[in-house]
Amino acid sequence: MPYETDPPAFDGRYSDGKTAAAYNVRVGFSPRGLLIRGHNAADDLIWPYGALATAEPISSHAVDALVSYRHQPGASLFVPNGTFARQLAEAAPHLTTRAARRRAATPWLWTAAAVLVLVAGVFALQLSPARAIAGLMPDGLRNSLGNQTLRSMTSGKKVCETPAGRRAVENLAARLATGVPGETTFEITVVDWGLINAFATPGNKIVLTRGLIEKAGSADEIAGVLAHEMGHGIEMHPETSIVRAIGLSAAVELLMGGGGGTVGNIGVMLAQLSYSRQAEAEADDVALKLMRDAGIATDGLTDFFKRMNKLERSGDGDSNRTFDVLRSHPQTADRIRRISAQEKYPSKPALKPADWRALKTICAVPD
Amino acid sequence: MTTPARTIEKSGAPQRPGTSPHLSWLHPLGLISLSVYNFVMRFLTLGIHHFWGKNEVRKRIWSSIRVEGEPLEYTGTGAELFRGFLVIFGIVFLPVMLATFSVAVFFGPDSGISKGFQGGLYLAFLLLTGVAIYRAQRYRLSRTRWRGIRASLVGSSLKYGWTYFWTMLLVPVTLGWISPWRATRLQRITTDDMRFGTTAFSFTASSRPLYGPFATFWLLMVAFLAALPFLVTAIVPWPDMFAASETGEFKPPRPEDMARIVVGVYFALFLLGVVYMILSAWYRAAMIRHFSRHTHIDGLSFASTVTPGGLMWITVSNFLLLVAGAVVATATLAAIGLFIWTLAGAGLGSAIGDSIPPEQIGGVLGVPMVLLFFLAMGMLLPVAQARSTGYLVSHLRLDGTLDTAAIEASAEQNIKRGEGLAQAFDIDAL
Repeated sequence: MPYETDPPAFDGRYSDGKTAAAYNVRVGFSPRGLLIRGHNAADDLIWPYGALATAEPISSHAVDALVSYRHQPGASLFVPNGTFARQLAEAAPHLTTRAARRRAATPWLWTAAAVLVLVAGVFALQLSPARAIAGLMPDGLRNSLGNQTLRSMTSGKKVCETPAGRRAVENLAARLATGVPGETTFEITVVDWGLINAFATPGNKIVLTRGLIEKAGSADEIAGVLAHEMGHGIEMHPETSIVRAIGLSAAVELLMGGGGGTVGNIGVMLAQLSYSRQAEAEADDVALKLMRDAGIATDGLTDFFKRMNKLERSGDGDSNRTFDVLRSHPQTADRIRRISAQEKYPSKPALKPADWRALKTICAVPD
Repeated sequence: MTTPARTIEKSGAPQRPGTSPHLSWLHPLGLISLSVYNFVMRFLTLGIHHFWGKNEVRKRIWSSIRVEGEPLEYTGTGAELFRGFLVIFGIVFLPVMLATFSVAVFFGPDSGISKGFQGGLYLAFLLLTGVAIYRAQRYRLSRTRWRGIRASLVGSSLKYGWTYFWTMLLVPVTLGWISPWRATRLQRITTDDMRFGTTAFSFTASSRPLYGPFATFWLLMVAFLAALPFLVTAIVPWPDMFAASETGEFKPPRPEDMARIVVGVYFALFLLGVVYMILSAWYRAAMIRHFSRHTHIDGLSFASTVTPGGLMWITVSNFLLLVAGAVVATATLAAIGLFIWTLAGAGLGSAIGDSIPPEQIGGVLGVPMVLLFFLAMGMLLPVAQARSTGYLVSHLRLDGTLDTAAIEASAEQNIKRGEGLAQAFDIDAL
């Protein structure tokens, strides 16, 4: 750019930073830096371009510039002239909006890219950090978590308990548990709830509903469902989803700059509503193994899926449509196909007829 | 390449000492493009850009406020905001989250200990809110300069926090009637602590003149609250879910009833917000005018001419602006998404088709769209903030004179700050 020194072309106001008084000055561009002249040329100030800063980055629609100088803290120079601002941007390119944005954004764009690569890597390698942390939970914590979950999900509902019914449940659980590695024991609760449902909570607790037991065609069906929920428990899926939910809400809070609040909570809630397809498939695999070890036929489980499929299609049953939209269960047909593909093995009914009758009526009010 | 720091003091004539300075607003240009840039960058940087974006917006807004034609200067940085957020996140959010979770797990969410803990937490937050408000103001003032002279807030944030806390506890007890007194008291603490260089601000308002407008606002609000249930049930048909409970067993509402209840509740909240905004406008305008009139520095007093109608217009038009921005942003992103989908064609389509039944795709895509819309509501916030600030500033006058030569920089002004522990908690995080 052409530098002109004499006389400086622009009117400006200069403050020394000691008081709020301002002085009229003339300002120009010299090869060495910004030239500021008061009454006497002998007292000229030169502010080198590289050490300048402006109150706001100079944009293309700047109408003025408020300039300060690193080596003279507090002092400021205001030039109410758009042409001056544009010439200053040319002489000191680091003052432009573009330069300021590049400085601010570049490190974080790289950081974001690195985080995305890391996340993609975790997914691609099928690592589950949440599962690893869940595995570190002490049993006491898992039990407390399970009790709280159980309490909140069954609050206001009666627990079904008859001596014969309880015995039937225990027998079934014990038979399925023969294939469970280690000392793991399961605590099974039946609740008086019309919904067809079963779920596992942390700490190897399983809930079966009255609706499920009443609608089941045979004890083998209940055995299949129970084995599936035991599969979730053995694979620590409930614990994993809690760890994941906590991690997600912390991450969302971090991402939203603390303003995550509602939006974040909705997202986290949706994320934890259901297990992933992979988790469901894992639970199915464990269930198949448990049933084989227990000598219980898998036909019951396929029957159950078939009936659920029909219920869902007809829009009947108590299934909640809002949740269906978000459910990530593997396609029921797929699951039926996978289970049917199992080799057949010798099997006996899951429960003796008397036990099955006792289980069916576990929620009946005693006469 | 350093030049000895010479001053120009002797060579230039001081500009009109003891002047009656003129306050003006020069509306910033290019705010919409800055808003869009910040919105996009927030996604690209996984949220971190938020702090840098906010900082640039502040620089623009501060620069638009002119005293004697010269802009205010904002010297804060995005890194400072980010650091402040990390500190709050690390020492408050995270521990509180873990503690709440642990208490709920080990003692049960409905246990006495859990409830006591929640209550204590609530009180602690209330106390911290006041402290945080004061410290955020101190941060912003300390980063505000005019003609190189820095502003500051010299009092104790605990004193402010404590006043904020106990007067807040009295708000429900007095059915809100402490509010004008409370607002005046808090404003007095802040204004009396404010300095421009070494020159102090002073505040001389009493709360008495605010009680007239407040009484009108309070009575109209109570009347509206009494009418609200009838208004809502008249407009959104309410399911007769409560009839079922009389038969003994409480039935959870059916999904279609649930939707109606949700719509009803949101409608009531929306109505409440609108009516509150309208009814409070008179009180708010009276308060701004009253407080301005009684704020002084040196020989200057402030005078505000804001009107209820003006405040209302700013609030309503800003809200419509945010909604319009969100609609445009969501539609644009949806169109881009659709375009990519079409380009990717069968591959992506069948991958998604496998995992989601066709009839559910609408639902699955609907959820992110709603989230996106809520996020996008914040996109044009810089424009809205500039409009609000512009309205207040352009309706504010400075009366009297200011001897600018007598306003000196405070002693600690040029000490490098930003590293001490005390400074670390001058946080403007949220």
